[in-house]
Amino acid sequence: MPTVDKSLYEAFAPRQLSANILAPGNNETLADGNRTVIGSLASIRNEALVHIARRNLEDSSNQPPSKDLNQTIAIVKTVDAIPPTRAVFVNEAYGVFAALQAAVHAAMDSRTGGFGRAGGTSGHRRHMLGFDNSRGMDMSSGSGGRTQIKRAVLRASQEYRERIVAQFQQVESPNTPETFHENEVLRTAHSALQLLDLVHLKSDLPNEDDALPWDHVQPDYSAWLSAHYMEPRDEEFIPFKNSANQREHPLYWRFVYQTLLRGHLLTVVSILKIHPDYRAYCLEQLSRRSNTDTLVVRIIELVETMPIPSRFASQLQFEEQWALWKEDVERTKATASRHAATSRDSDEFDRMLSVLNGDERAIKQVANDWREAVSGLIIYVHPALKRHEVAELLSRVNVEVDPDSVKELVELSIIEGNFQRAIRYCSKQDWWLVSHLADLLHHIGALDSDNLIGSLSGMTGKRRSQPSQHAPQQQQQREWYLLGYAQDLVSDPAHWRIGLEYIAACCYSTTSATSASASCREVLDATVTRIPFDDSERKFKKLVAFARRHNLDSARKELHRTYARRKLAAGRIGEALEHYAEARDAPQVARIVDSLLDARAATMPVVDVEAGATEESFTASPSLSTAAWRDIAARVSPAAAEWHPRLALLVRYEQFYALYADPSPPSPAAAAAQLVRIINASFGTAAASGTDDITHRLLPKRLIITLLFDALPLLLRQSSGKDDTCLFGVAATNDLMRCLEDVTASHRSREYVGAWAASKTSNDGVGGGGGGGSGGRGSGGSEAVTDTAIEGVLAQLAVVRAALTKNLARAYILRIP
Amino acid sequence: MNEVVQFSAGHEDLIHDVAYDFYGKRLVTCSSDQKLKVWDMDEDKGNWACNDSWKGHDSSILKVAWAHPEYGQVFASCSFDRTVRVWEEQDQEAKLGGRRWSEKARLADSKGPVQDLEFAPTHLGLKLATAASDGVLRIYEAMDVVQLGQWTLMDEIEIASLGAIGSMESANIGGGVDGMITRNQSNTGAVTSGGSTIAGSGGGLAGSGVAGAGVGGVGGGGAVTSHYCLSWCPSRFQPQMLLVGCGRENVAKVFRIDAHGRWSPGEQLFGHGDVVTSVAWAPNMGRSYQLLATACRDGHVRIFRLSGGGSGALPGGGDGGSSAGGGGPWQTAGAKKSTTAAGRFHVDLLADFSDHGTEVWRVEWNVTGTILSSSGDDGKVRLWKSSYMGEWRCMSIISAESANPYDPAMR
Repeated sequence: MPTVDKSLYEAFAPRQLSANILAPGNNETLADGNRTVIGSLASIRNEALVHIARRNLEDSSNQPPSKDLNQTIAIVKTVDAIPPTRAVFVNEAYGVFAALQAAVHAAMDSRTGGFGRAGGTSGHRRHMLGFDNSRGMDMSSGSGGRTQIKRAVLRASQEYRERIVAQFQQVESPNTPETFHENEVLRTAHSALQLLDLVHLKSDLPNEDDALPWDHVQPDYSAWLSAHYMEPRDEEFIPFKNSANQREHPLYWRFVYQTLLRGHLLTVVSILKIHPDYRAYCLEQLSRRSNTDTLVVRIIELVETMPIPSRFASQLQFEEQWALWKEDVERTKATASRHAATSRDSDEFDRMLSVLNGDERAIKQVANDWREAVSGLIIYVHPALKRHEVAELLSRVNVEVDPDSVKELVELSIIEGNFQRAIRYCSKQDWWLVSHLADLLHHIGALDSDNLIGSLSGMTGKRRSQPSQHAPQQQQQREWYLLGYAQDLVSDPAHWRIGLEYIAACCYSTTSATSASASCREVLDATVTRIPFDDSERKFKKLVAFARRHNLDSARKELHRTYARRKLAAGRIGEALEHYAEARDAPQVARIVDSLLDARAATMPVVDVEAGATEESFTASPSLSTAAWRDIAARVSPAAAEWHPRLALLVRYEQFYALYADPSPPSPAAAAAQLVRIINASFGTAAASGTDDITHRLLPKRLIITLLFDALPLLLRQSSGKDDTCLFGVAATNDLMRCLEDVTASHRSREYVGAWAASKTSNDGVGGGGGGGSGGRGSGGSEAVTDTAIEGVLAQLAVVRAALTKNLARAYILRIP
Repeated sequence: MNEVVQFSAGHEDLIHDVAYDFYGKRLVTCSSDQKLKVWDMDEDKGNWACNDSWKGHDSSILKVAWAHPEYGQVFASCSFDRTVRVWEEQDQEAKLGGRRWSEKARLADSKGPVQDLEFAPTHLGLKLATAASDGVLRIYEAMDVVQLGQWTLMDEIEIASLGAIGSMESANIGGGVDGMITRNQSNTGAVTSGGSTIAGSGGGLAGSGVAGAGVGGVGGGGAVTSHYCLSWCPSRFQPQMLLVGCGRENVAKVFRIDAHGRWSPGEQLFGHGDVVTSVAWAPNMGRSYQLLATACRDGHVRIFRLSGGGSGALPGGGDGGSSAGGGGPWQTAGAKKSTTAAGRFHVDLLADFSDHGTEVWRVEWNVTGTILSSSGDDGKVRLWKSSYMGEWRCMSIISAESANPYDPAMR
């Protein structure tokens, strides 16, 4: 078992939940009453069912019921549901996510010339803040593609932040614990993404704005600080501004230093200008009594003339100007002691000059926290600091962090480039941030297994010992987190579609190993079939369309089979057949078609053997069930008919029946021809060759009997002299006779005939509630048929044989081949 | 937030089992009061409503399991009355009328109380495995997945090692050699449908030597002295496999179907200090290894990994060695890791948790095999999750007790 540092995990204690089915303190008494607690997990919902159950397997049927019959079943949410107020945000954030994936794929395709993925092929490794970029996006092989991807990631990050701000405005007033938490989550997410932008994403990225030709972190860092840690706060600063004697306000110097360290130079100047020394100087100027310079005036001048990096076209120009300005600061500081006696705030002015002069000790002394200290160091010590160098400043300031502040812990981790730690802390607060942060980091190549092991304290020993247990075996880390978020979405009835899309996005990762993508496909396969569609055809169609779009063939078929079974239970045979055909479920299709033909057989009139058969006795009006099977047959698509011989038989049989039902010429002749075609198509080969091939065996014998009885009225029509021509030629008659012999000459003939009789006498539909499949009818069904019934059918077949014999003779006479 | 929805099952005795359906929108509860109750979730109102309630068996009903919905609304129940019954919803019948669920089949082959049952993963068809106190694992298959009336007893497999079944006269059964387990195959005789026996071929089991099973399986006071449990391997890319908790042997075994269609015992999961009370085979989800979990009366929850080999069916029957005494040549998980012969899995003990401190009665995986739940006599349900690094940690503890309002952790 790997040994891990527990310190990080202690912050991640198991979540305590309660099912509230026992009074406090009663857990221990459960076993005494032969009871225990059992939990079950709901399908895709993040719920656990908890109930009290009997502990031992013992039969208590004959004993009086237990005294304490706790019958409460509790369903406990194991993960907080996504707040309804977040619905729009979830949707819009997915839009940004999807656009990013498309942009990354496009960039990868353009780099590889459209020949697939390029990840993992380059031998050139590039390190950024100690991160190996050979995994994730291979950023080194083609600067155009790398820049394109990085720019897409940056754009996505900024768009996420826009969506967060919009969402933040909705829940701005934290009235309830839920909204307070949501507020916290949004702040953390915004801050984390903004820091990621300013420290990592914009690093080495050519600026699209020509006005800023050289890159430095100062303005972005100040913007982040102001956005998330606004100082001075309005509630304190406004009363200060309105006070009569501001210099005497206890927060005067705090405000001066805060604004100074944060680079709010105009505010610094405005506060200094209300200092009594400056007012005295102004009065002296007005009265022209003196030309003596005061320290506050010198400091104001220095602040006003301080070079701002963004105003310079190049770093060199800025640094030349900065050096001159620093000389001014040093000169002023050197002469500051002369002013010591003239101002009671000379010490504070001296400290200000130290800050301006880049004295780290003074900066740390006046900074409220590490963020301000870093800001001071950037502005006054390293004004041209590059983005990726911010982390180095953390080691030079006193970093005191509130261990309960996830936001602050995440911020520090991101600045340090310790993304694994950042993700772990984010996971304590919100899975949306975890998954999207991981996705962004993955695309810039800052998330891989090597980094993972190194960045978790206590896990360094695992780097070499277990390198192969992770990504190659299962999902990449990005996919791991995205699937976690997706499963939260899927468990929410309002977000299941987006949840599926997130899972699908994992299947098409540009860099995942094939096995990892396959793993995600398995998850998608398992999840899509678990989405309940009840009886909603619309939802079912959406799921099928989704499965089709992502080539989830197995899931699509499972959906069709499930839907077909519902339709079958509801008696909607046609729809059931359609969906079983879509699912390519050959046994079920065959079973239903056989049952439909059985339904047709059930409507056949019985030949009165004693009285002799006449054509009129077969022209009974079609019953309702006849109409039903014909409707169903008419709905069979050509593709389905081509796929399954039994469906083709059903279609042909329906065509035959249409001709058969129309007594006017040339329909009878056409019907006869169609019947012969059915025989030839379905088992003609076998009949002709005398072999028992698989096509032949697929068609139950009872269906052959039905076809033979169908032929009878056409044979009788000829013998009654209504038609001058013979409807069945020699070859066709021979085929029919072979079919007849196949049934009657077999040692199982009574079984075949019994099955036909059973289907005729007990046909109660093909739905789930009744009827029977081929297996049922073929074996069990025949047993219920009496010998009398079997003899009756055999006698009727004898009539068919006689009619065929007559027809054969007639065909020979008329020389009809 | 601690969000809880509650309802009362209203049985007249203690509940034995509750099972979610495939979608998690329907429940069936069973109890010592011999009744079954089906509950439907009303998503709009967020509550559970009783669909129907009826007397399902002639004795305590021990377990219930749903079939895949592609076979309709179907579930099976097993009972102390030694039968397994298959139930299907009848849409045309009114709810709460006591006739909404129709008994489609009654499987009465067991010689002792049937303790566990589970439908096979749907790619194997409509199959049902049962484990009874007579120490026999039975696998049934529906002949007609629509009618559900005919179930063929495909296999009867001796779960326990020879000599470990107590008074069972099992040595004569099956005629196998060296731990040959399968008793008979395709026995279509011992199935009843709707109460009437259907004659059929096969047979060879009835009255052929399991007469003592009931005696051995059930104690004099009606208490079961052995405890068997099972779980199917859900992977589509593996041969049919079952994980079976083997009662008093304090071990769980993997049973696999071999190239000849016969079931044989494979790897054994050792290291249990008492009876294995529940086993669960995790959905594979494309992993290159299998995850198995066991609950044990020794108070431990264990997670095992089967890796390497195993993808092909085992060659031949018998498969190398006796099953007697539980000390056969199968892979053991008590050791850290062991090498295996070709076609066999490596067995690793990934995690061993004793957090419950008392008997653990149930383990269960979620749909994607990422979360394991365990339930024990400490009145708690624990949810275990693996991190990306493969470390298993407890992510949630659900206590049956009401929350202490002053405990900040519960707020």
